[in-house]
Amino acid sequence: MELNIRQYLRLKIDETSFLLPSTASLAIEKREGLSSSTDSRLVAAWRQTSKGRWPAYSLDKELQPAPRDRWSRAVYLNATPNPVGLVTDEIQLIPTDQLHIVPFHPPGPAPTNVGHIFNAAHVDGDDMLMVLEPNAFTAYLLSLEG
Amino acid sequence: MAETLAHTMHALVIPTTRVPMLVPSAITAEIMSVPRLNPLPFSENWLLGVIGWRNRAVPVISFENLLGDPTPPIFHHRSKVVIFQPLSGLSEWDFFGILASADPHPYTISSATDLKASSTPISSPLVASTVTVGRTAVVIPDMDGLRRALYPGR
Repeated sequence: MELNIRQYLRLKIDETSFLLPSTASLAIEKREGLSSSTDSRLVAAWRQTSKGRWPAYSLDKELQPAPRDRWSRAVYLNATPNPVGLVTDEIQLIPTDQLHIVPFHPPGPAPTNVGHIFNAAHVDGDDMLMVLEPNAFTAYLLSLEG
Repeated sequence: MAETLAHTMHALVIPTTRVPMLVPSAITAEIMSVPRLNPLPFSENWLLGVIGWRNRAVPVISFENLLGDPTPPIFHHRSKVVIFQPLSGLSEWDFFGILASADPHPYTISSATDLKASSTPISSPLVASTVTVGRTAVVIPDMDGLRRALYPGR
């Protein structure tokens, strides 16, 4: 777990929120700046660049692929060969000193070949937000390309 | 004559919907009512959710489901969560909880004959032994097996 993270992005997805270290975000795009997808059921939108187009996937609150129309922004993570993104209902930048981040090891087998999707959590009483592990989450998004 | 243990062992019988568990009290940290269970994506059916406990994120599991019973556990007002100390070899924050169907009750083991082998043992890598407490069959979990099931590769 990276200890010098100064800010997190709260990603609201299908009425659930997750945290992502802000350092993992390559770009955040408004919906209006993206091209809608017509050639893939899983890709909600594309970002057109001079070096190709970057997909942004639509996931549900279980982080399973699911078409959703209600989203406003996409967050992109660095990946090879192209960055890969996720559409979200809302994105909020939160300083680390406003959170209580603790390490967390999810039980059970890891869903990606680089490990578990989560590696920490924000805990405030009963309230909890899971923190996405950028490398594993990127690997998961890339695996959706099939 | 019954073999007397060097030290009396304080244990807990943890009721579950399938077969109760018998564990040393020393490996538990707290017994609590079931708090809000936060769902965890990508989890197995035996992981019921994650709770906030003492400013930590603590996974809560169903031991029956871990044993292979596919039936989801039933929650009711008597249900409890027993918080366990981190298993051997894991990080100091790796507490975990097991769902109990009612309040666990204490059981003192002072003699080897206090525990008789059950005539209907449960065969599982997660079970070290099946014994009887009074007339009830209870399982003594294999903590190494539990660690391997919960945290494969660690």
